[in-house]
Amino acid sequence: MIKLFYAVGALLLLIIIVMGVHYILGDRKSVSDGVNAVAGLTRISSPSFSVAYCEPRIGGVEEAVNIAYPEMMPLDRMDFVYAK
Amino acid sequence: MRNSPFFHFLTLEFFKERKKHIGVIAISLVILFLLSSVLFISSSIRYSLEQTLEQEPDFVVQRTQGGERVSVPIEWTDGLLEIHGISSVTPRVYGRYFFKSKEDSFLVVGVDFMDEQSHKALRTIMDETDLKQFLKGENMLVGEGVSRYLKAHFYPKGYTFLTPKGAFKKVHLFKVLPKESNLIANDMIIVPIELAQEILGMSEEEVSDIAFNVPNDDEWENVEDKISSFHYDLRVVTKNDIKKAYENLYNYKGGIFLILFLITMVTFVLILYQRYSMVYSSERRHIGLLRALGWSINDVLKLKFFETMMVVVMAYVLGVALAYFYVFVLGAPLLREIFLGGVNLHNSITLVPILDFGILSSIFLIYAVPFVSAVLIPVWKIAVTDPKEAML
Repeated sequence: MIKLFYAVGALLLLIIIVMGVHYILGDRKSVSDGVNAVAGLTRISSPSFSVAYCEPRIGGVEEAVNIAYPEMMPLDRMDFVYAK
Repeated sequence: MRNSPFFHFLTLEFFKERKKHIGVIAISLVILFLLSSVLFISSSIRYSLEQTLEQEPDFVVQRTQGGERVSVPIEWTDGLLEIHGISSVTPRVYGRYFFKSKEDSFLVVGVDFMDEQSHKALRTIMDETDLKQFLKGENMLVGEGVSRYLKAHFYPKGYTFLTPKGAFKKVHLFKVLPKESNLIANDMIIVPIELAQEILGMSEEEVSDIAFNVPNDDEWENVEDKISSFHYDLRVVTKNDIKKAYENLYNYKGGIFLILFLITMVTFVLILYQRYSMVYSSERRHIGLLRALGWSINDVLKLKFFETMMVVVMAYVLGVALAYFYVFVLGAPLLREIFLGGVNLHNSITLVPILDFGILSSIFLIYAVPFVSAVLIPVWKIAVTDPKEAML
């Protein structure tokens, strides 16, 4: 049974090594170059989620307050409880 | 270790009970696989988006009306240019354009190709000859999703846009953007800024918003205050806001994923606890026998601890490796759709292999600690009873 145990252990180790090699050799540059080229050209880096028309395509920022002329703060946001 | 009787007994015990262990490993594997897959996809998308932050302008000035973003008059740029410390002021024009009876929409982005920065960026996408040809006529660059959609609807070479004024505008499809940029450009149509204004029904004096940089970080707050005092209906979005938004994208600490994970984990631990607290008579007899043979409570607990840890480690390595293969080799089919959405154009992105070791160790701890305690507590309860009683 000890031999079998070692065999299972070796198999798990092999899986970890294969994963590590794939991770190290993974191509990150071509993706970041491609995304950066378009972001540099358009100056828009919002993710292209497949959203309905009523949802914002360029989103991510929820604050709609001008700091010099604040509108009434939204009351449903827990802003009073947690400091920003 | 090889000659250790304890180790020998442990492996014997482990393989003797293999049916029971395989069942537990299978359940754990499914939970760990799903959880790791979700976290791998989210961290990969977040990583790719964070890479683009350098290209993101430091500030964007928008105009709001009733909480909605509306067009900004181009003359606002003059006011911005007068502020000391501001550079690269770029008006941006973008908006959604409907196709096929408002079923699908694309993002039309107008770019001033004569602008130095845009020109330089355009060169990275195409060579000099293409560039001259591209700037000659009314051409567009489209994302892979748009190209696929146009081809499927018999527009392989270009499209005739219908402007809000009722005029038709024929635009030639010049080039498809690289597949690697799908994360941000899948539904994008890039055209010259004047053409975008026409397609989106804006006048020449209007733009969507204005982007600019402030090279000195210490000036950021000062500049934000100054600009905010220009108009009542103005909103300033900083690069930090965008960064924060990306950090919170699919944040597993606060999102629905954590709730789902907690429910699954609690169910899993309950099943395990029930399973081990009932402790089959054979298991009780086994522990009682060991105690009768002179094993101390510590020895029994040690045996069960190592046995459980072998199950935990095996399930963890297999679950994480399977998730890695599924996400970064196969591209996470099906599960990817949850992240990218499926209402508009289908998006197929390349997921960059990213392993967040903080997340991996958290998964291990969250999984291993309740598992080990769900096994050891009932075992300890039996081990402390009299061996005679335990064997009854």
